[in-house]
Amino acid sequence: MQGSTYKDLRLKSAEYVASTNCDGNAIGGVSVGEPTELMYEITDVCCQVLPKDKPRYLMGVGTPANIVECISLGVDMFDCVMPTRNGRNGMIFTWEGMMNMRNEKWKNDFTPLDANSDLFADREYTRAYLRHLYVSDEILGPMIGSIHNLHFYLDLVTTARQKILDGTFATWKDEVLPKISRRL
Amino acid sequence: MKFTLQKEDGKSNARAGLIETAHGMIETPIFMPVGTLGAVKSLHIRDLKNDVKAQIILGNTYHLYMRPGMEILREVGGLHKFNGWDRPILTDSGGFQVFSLSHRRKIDPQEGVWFQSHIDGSRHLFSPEKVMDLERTIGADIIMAFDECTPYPADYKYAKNSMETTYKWLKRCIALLRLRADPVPDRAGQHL
Repeated sequence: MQGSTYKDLRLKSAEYVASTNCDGNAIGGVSVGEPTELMYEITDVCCQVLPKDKPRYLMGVGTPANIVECISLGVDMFDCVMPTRNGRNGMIFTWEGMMNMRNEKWKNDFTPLDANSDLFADREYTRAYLRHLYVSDEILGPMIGSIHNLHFYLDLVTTARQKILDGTFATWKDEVLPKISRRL
Repeated sequence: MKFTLQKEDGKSNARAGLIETAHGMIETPIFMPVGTLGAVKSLHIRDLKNDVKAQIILGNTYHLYMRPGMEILREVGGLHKFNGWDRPILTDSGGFQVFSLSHRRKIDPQEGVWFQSHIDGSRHLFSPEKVMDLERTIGADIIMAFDECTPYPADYKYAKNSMETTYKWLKRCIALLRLRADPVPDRAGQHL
């Protein structure tokens, strides 16, 4: 689907695409610089029209908070370069919030990236060490950042799925959104 | 590709489902790591499977067409064989990249898009039919129709034209896939 940020065009596009009876439907032309609220509105308009028995793919979205919001609007599939691109630059996404690992703040923090994670890298490397790697341009820094962020993104959608199956998604969403959106 | 809706949330429009492909199942909602050129940057396939627990990754038609090119992918028998990932792959059509990366674009709604490669400046045409064949050669489990990705901001008239072109191209993609419908069972998973 296309239609920019015009709701009537998005509606028409969703009706057109739904009428072709493809195996799955994708919402494109989002995450191209439009305000977040508009992206949510468009996604909602499309999801209202798209058939329920076909998967819905929102292309190029987004931050952890964007993903949780759009899951709640009825999106099934996401992709984004953010976990790897930001991971290479030192921006780490966690359940507690976003961390800029180049920040002075982590210089003497010798605690693991995330002691409770099931990812080896989160338990084996400290924040201070990871900061050192980024600041010194060591190739291991972007490697740890990339695997960490992708692991977090998969953990996020897997948890969301479990909460939907348990019937506790709405409560979980309200709890988790403020945390994953903040900067540590 | 087959989708089963497993559960709908009572308090929102969230859903849980299952997608079945020739290379395995995908539990939704899902996030798909981006492997533009056939690699998720800096990660081994082993990392993606064991640590990230990725169920499906992306490839990009525009980028893979430029490098390594279709001759290599045809010779090796598709992207799965080339990069060693044996789970599902989704390919983006390259519509976005034709608009964001290439130079001297010329859109001809009847034909497709003429553009210059961002690598060596060579001239290429992407049409809905051509992109479907490219994605079939890459061998993705889920393929995307060739669209005209509307930039932001766009005025109403531009957005309307672009949306209508995308719909026309979608119908051409579907027609081409019907034409190519392969009787061999393990190639029956050509999807949109």
